Amino acid sequence: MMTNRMQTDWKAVAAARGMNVSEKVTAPLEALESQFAALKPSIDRFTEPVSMYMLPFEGDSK
Amino acid sequence: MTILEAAAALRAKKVSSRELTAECLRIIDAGNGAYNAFLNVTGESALREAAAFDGELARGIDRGPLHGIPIALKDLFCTRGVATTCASLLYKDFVPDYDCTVWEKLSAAGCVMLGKAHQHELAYGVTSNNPHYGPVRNPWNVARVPGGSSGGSGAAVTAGMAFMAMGSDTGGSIRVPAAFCNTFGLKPTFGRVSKFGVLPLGYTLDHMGPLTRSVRDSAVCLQAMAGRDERDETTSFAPVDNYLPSGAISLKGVHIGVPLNYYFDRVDADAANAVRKMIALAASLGATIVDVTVPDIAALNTVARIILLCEAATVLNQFAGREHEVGADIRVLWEQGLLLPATEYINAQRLRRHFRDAFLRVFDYVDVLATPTTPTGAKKIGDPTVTIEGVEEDFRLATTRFMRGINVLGFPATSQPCGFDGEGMPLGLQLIARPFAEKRLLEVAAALEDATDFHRHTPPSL
Repeated sequence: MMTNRMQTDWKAVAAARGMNVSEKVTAPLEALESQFAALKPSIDRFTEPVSMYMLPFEGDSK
Repeated sequence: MTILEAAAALRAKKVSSRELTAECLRIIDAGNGAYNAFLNVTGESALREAAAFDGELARGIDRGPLHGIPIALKDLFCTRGVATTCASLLYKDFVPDYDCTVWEKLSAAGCVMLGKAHQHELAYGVTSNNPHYGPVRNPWNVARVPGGSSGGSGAAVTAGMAFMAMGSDTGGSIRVPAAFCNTFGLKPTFGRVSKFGVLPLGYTLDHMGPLTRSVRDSAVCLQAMAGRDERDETTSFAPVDNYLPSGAISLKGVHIGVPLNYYFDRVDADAANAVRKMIALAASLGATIVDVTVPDIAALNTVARIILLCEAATVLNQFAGREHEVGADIRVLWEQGLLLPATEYINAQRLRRHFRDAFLRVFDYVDVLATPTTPTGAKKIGDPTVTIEGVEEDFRLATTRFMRGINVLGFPATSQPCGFDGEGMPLGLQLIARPFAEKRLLEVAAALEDATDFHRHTPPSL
């Protein structure tokens, strides 16, 4: 399913879900995945590991 | 004529709401064949509403500046008993039995509904080139797109069909048509205007706001719509300001940030020059211009795309099995959203607060940021790409690259007319402010509008 450690084989993922998708679907996803991969190191650097800002209650007052 | 001009004429008894409404309906009747700005015109009920509001004014009942003003709603605002289709076959038979909060408030303020404005299918695109109901055409050049997704709203306002048209903005869908059609467009802070009863696209990215012929017109519309709504728990408890800018506005003491990075990269020379001239104008009006470096917008746009793909796929999946009923562009995005793993969505959300905080620090030094709304003017209907400075880009991604990240932040932003490109197509200036700073944002926009006449220009054919 993975062509290398960073790049997902989106056609294979789609096929595994019973979807037959075109290059128009997968090519932008490949680009988007590469762009997001470059951001991933910053997730741990810039976000509090115990925090996930989709909580049942808002932490800040509106 | 603007809303405030019409409001003055109504009170001076120079015109009635029924006459204003009849004139809008006449313009719609004459122009909708060319522009395809409306999907559904509710003429009879509009004339009835207008007559009722005239009666109120005659009896001394005055609901304020929107009393008797004819407006349009993008076809994703639910209205009781009136088809609300999102310009999609998926909702073709949907007739809501309730009103959205926006229409409840606008109606209570005295607005007359002319009908439902056309849009990009499901609000998921920027061309309003709709495979089911035909393309919306730009009144400035009917071979060009009006922008989107609120394309019918932009076309209707610039063509004189409505004094205001409501839009929604998930990645630029108010600001793009505002720029391409030479209107003012306001995307308020996330949570400032209720989303209750509006067909969603991106749950955490959708914003509701007006397109109008002037800044002050949008201010009075925001005044009517803003505030907490118990039916939309994402709405804010923050106090509602008095948004209407005063008659004479000074920009002395106002700091306007001009990004050194990203926002002037790969921009048509005409668009960049028009925005630079507006910034110089602001300086001449007393503003202090501050060069700023903004956080990584390309990264923020990546976060925006992941969040939107996943949220939109979630919205659309209620229609699983009906994928063949949507346009090819929508189907591609729908399938992309289905393929992205939940981990990517969650990580994108985790980065959101980081970017918000980084952007808030910019506003420690400036009141507003000034940028181009779009890197070009409107292009031809059907062109999937645009070439800027020799680089070919996907039209949707290129057109929204200065805007979609702001939806992730939830900050308020506007687009206002600032000139025309070499082909005569309108260009937009985007102003961005810190959360809930709409009052200051509208003051700056109004000061610039007062010193120019771009907003007074109408399409050559009209």
